[in-house]
Amino acid sequence: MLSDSQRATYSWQLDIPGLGEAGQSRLGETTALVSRVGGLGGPLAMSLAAAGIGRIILVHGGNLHESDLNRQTLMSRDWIGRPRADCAAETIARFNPEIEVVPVDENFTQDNAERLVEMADIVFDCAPLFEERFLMNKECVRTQKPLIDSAMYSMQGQVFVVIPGATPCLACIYPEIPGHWRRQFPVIGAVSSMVAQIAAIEGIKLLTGIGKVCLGELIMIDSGKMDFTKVKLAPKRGDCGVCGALRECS
Amino acid sequence: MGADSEEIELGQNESIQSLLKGLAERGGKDFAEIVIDGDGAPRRTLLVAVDGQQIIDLDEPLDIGVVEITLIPPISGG
Ligand SMILES: [Zn+2]
Repeated sequence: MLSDSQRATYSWQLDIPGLGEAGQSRLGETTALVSRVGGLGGPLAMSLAAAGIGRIILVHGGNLHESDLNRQTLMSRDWIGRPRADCAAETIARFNPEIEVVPVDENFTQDNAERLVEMADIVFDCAPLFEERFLMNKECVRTQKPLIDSAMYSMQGQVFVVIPGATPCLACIYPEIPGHWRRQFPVIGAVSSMVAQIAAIEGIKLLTGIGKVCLGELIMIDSGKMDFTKVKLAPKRGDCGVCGALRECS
Repeated sequence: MGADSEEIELGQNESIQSLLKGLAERGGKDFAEIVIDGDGAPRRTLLVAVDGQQIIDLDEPLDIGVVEITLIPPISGG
């Protein structure tokens, strides 16, 4: 049941076919975890907040640097040196005071993965490092929670939805951590935020039942040519070290 | 290599694995590193799709007419 204030805030989206008050209530009852909240996770978290997700956990270790400001639009120049999770939480809380925002000044590690994923109903993986993405994938598969994985590089983006047991997981499509990866990647905020919006839309669709979630597909964006394509992924691998033991379900 | 797409005529019963080897030989070191491992086998982290469908078995011969083969290297950035 929506409050009068919620009905007013979300009135323009309540008319989306299939969303309605039931879908809006589901968003309001959901805790989403977003890690990290940089050029991709920041705009993604903001869109979840605008859509009315009830609670957002913002996971990001480290402080704001000047070189983050070309893309991390939840930040502010006068916050350089402050923890980014706190800054992001402040911006989002000011934008939508009706939702709960929980900053966590840490990145995903072996030690905190269980504690962090336990807090959430759905995980949005926006981390730039494969190691963190694999950790989130593993923990989401273990706890059977949906994961929306997103990544970008230069003008390219990829988004893919993991429903443990029903779709391939990250380790199914990358059976090992790619070796050629470098920490610093070329990025302009317009591209990272576009990829973020696609990931946010997939999550909102999954939670509310509107539209058709791209399950078992890799969404690929080439903003250099404005090509949007999807590749149908092979079924989850029976020999996947992460999800192989899960029974196929739908 | 630098080419986003290229038209290639495949040999009789050529597999994606042999196609990748050929591409890696003329594609430069960075490209080769993404596509094949030290033993010349396709990298397990490279996704390959034929006409929009991921293919796992890369040493199967391709006996079909005109197809679009997409090589999807892993990316990670946010
Ligand atoms: Zn798997």
